[in-house]
Amino acid sequence: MNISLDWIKDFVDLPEGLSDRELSERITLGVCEVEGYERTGVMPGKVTVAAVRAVAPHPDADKLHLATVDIGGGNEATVVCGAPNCRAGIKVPYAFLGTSFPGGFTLEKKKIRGIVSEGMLCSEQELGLSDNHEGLLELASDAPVGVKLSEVLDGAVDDLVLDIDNKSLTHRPDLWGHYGMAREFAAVFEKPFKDKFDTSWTNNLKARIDKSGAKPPVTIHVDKDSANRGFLGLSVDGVSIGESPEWMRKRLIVAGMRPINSIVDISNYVMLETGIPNHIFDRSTIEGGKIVVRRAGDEQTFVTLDEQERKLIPSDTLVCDAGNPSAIAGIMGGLKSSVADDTSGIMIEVANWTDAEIRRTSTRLGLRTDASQRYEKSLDSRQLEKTVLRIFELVLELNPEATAVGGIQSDNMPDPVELAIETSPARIAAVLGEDVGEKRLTGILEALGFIVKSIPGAVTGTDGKGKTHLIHVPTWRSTKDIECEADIVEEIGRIIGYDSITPVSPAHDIEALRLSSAKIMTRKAQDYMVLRGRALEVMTYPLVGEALLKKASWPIHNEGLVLANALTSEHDRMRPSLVPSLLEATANNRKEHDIFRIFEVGRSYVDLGGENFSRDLHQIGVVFQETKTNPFAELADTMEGLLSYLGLPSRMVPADPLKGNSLIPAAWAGSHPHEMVDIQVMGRSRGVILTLHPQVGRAFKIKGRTALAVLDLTEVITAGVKDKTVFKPLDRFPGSDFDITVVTPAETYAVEVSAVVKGMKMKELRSVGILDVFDLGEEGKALTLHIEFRNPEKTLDAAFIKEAEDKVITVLDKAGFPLRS
Amino acid sequence: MIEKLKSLETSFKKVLKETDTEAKLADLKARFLGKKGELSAILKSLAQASPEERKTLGQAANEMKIRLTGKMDEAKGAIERTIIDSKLAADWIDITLTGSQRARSVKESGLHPVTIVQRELEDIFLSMGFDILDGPHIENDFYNFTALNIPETHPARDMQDTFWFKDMKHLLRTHTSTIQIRGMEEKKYPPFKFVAPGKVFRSEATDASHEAVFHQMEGMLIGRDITVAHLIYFEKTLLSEIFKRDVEIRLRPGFFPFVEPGFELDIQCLICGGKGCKVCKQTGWVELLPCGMTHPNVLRHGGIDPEEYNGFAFGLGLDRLVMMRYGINDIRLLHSGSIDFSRQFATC
Repeated sequence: MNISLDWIKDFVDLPEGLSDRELSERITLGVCEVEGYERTGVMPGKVTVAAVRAVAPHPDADKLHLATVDIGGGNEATVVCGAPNCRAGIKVPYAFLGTSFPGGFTLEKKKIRGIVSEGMLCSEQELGLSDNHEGLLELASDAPVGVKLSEVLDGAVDDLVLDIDNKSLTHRPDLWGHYGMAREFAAVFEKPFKDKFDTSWTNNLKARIDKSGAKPPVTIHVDKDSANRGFLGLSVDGVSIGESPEWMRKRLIVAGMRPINSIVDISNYVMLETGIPNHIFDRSTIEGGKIVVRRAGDEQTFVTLDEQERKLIPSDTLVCDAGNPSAIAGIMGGLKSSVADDTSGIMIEVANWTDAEIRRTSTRLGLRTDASQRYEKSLDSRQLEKTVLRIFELVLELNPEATAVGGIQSDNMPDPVELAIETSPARIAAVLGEDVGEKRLTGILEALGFIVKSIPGAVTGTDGKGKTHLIHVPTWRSTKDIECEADIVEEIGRIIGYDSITPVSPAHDIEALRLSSAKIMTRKAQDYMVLRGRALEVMTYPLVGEALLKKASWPIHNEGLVLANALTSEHDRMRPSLVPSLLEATANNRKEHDIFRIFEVGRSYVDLGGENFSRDLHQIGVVFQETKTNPFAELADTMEGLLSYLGLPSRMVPADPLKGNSLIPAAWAGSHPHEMVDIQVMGRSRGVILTLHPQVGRAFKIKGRTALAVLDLTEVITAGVKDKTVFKPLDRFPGSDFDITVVTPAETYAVEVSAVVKGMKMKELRSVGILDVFDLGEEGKALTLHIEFRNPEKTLDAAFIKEAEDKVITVLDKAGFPLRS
Repeated sequence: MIEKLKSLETSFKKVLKETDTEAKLADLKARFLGKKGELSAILKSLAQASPEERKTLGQAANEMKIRLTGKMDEAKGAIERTIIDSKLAADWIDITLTGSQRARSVKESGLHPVTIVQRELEDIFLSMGFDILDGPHIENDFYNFTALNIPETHPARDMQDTFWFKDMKHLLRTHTSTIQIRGMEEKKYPPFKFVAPGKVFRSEATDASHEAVFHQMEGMLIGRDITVAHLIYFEKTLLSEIFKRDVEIRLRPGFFPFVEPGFELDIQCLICGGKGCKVCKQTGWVELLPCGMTHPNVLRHGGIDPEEYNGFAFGLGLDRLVMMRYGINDIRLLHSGSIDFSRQFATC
């Protein structure tokens, strides 16, 4: 929103000597964010009155002229000009080279179609006076040549325009007009607020209305169950439509609105002043002499002023006449009610509407207007009368013959909400950390329109928490913004300026603190994957689309976790697994690189349905990508090492892809038929390692060999892990090693063989490991085990060793793994 | 006799100089120190000397023997080393061929930049006594809005483009402020302070500076008699630590329903030092974090009595800090899954 300082000065005298930057900064620090500021109507000294002496065609351009102008002081200039009204004899604004225009452009010396233009002749738009760009601004024929334009042009006032960030006004319904904003300026700069719209002003205008005494030509009926919060109407006769005065046009332009005609301009002008939207009807368009406010009900559509047909729902509120709707309440009017050139009888409508309802309708229609964005903020119905009177005042100013017909018609006007908040200067100081004193506090609040009264007999008390004062909140602040004591604290804080508060350290609490076990474990997992897994951490979108899930042949589509308002179908639901995201990332990276390792610490989401709805799962997903070597073994080593480093006892169990496991759906097409391992942690399946099935790899265009792993940490990280390591005394007696090679069927897993030996429960058996596997072709495999015997009490003797070795051979033989001869 | 000894030592030294193989060394030992060697011959001839002479000469001869043996051992070590070195000359690797020099598709491993910056912040907060909390991404209306003093009709809901699930009751959290309520519920008894880093979601068209999924870090401190003065002190300390230099800050009014008073905190532009430049749009200040005194309604929703306790809360845009730190020009890279992106940060 644009705020004109010239306009603000109607209500407050600002201190002298403030720079534009200082002024903007004070408002930013005390009220709302000034995003930028600009001088307009600059009429820099370099724009002067010039007389066109002669006009010749431009030799190289049909539409351009070469104007010879008298710029005063006996000097002439030749200017290239394209305006159709450029002709000898007229007086026009002339800008010297170097002039900076309101739009930010600076006139520089340059050739236009081969001819140097010595300056520029200006249109209204170029001077920021209006958006009229049809031709040069023609000045009065008696305007003296060579003088500054500002001296001959009334409307060309030097002004500072502040660009206010609307978002910073979200909670301030009272700041959507210059009148309310001026009160803030007065408080910030400690200057009196000149309330032009005071009681005597009100009484004077009301007197002019009441004198008419006639019967009102339009009556108003408001359905109580509509979105209305008060409706006022005033009929005025004897109005003629024309161009509004220069000062009004200029202020509208500065505020970012286009001047249209005197009545529309007044309507907009007053909205920009009091902050209350309004509508001026051509009374001849009001059928049946009455206005009815009601819910849309059966009404299906309405064509708004911008000629768009809008779909209505029964709960929308409409402003209607005896026959048809004329406006969607609080948002936009229709085509027919607007004033026309021959309008003479008008009705001024000023109403208030329920914020939430306007917001809902406007959001649904995708129609956000100057009116709706104000009503959304919850306006004060007490400002309606002021607004009617101000419109009436301006109508009278432009149409001295105009008269009000009948009094101000009113319906559904709510009683003002009285709000008073108990507090005390001490309580406010206790939150700010700065005591401003009762006098200053009262001064600030009163400048902002609050009324401060002390509560008789109330004392602060020894704890300093007694409430001694009652702060009456002005109606324009009590609609939503100010609700409780904390809001009063803010009023004081922002006006004294938070800069004036001396920073103080909070008191220390002695408290031992460490990272949560979840945090520690997550960090350890990341570190391990980087340092030992030699992988790069990546992040992928937690949102996926059905196309990706299908590409990954992932059967779970999380239909219950689909968004109502997704941005794209590619990211319209929460991912059921890290796997599809990791495959997508692998495919993207595979375009540039053939060997890499990535991991993500991320979440997948379970669609639980019902009351519980969903569950976030904390997981780590890993991909090892190779060209020719099978990366499975290295990945499995890494995962085993990771679990050990995390202190999680785990088992790696060959899994059946047809059955799936806790992380991989049964018969998932992406799983290799023989290379899938279930990771069991703390007795439950919590992870998987598998080789990607080449068929799914092909769907993603992932060439080479891919192994992936997912580990679910959801439960284990919150449970935390105790370090259960216990020291064992070092061995004092030597052990005995023994290697043995047996023959096994091709499909036998090596661990099945070592498990046979481990199962012997021989107390001297210290360890069994697989030393080597050799393919024997049709005969199966030759498997060499490395076995260590040791007795902590004594050195093993030869007889024992021989016996033990024989036992091992026998047990293996019985299990179907004969000694290789 | 003594001359004989001296001459023996001189000739020993002379021969030693030419001794460069193990065979020559054996010859040398035999010739001078062996049983039939020159020193033995001299010692045998001692039998004819007088007792005094025998004593002096015997001592001199023994001392010389120790000296010569020492020299010979030295020579032996040197010869052995030469032999080993000549073998090592044929058995060494190119020591310049370290991992970073090898041609491999991707040789780096490392953490994601968001992880790096997030950990750094977590450590700063931990050092200031803040616990680090976490919470779900999928939330309900209560934790994301209602409990944070954002009722259904509140215009603040307009400011946040919320991703709703089809039941229209659940949503993706639009801010980490949800952890304010969850944190209060968990901690129960003030005083306490905590931060919560994590992903948040906004239904927002994406471009180089806007993402639908990004990271925030929420912070909250609750205790007795907490003031705006405390908030200012704390934020200044925090930001000086984050930026590793003294920073100037200022508070200005900002509207966030869950705080009152609410502030936008600006830091003095680190590029121009407050003079005004392109980065700070000539204002000398850069908007950095929203904060404020926790609204009494929010305390109530978290089960804390606002008459007894109060506090403050703040939110940090984690991605923005990451992008500032590394000069990343496109926020979408953070969730791209790209290794060409990840491999640029603190890798090994």
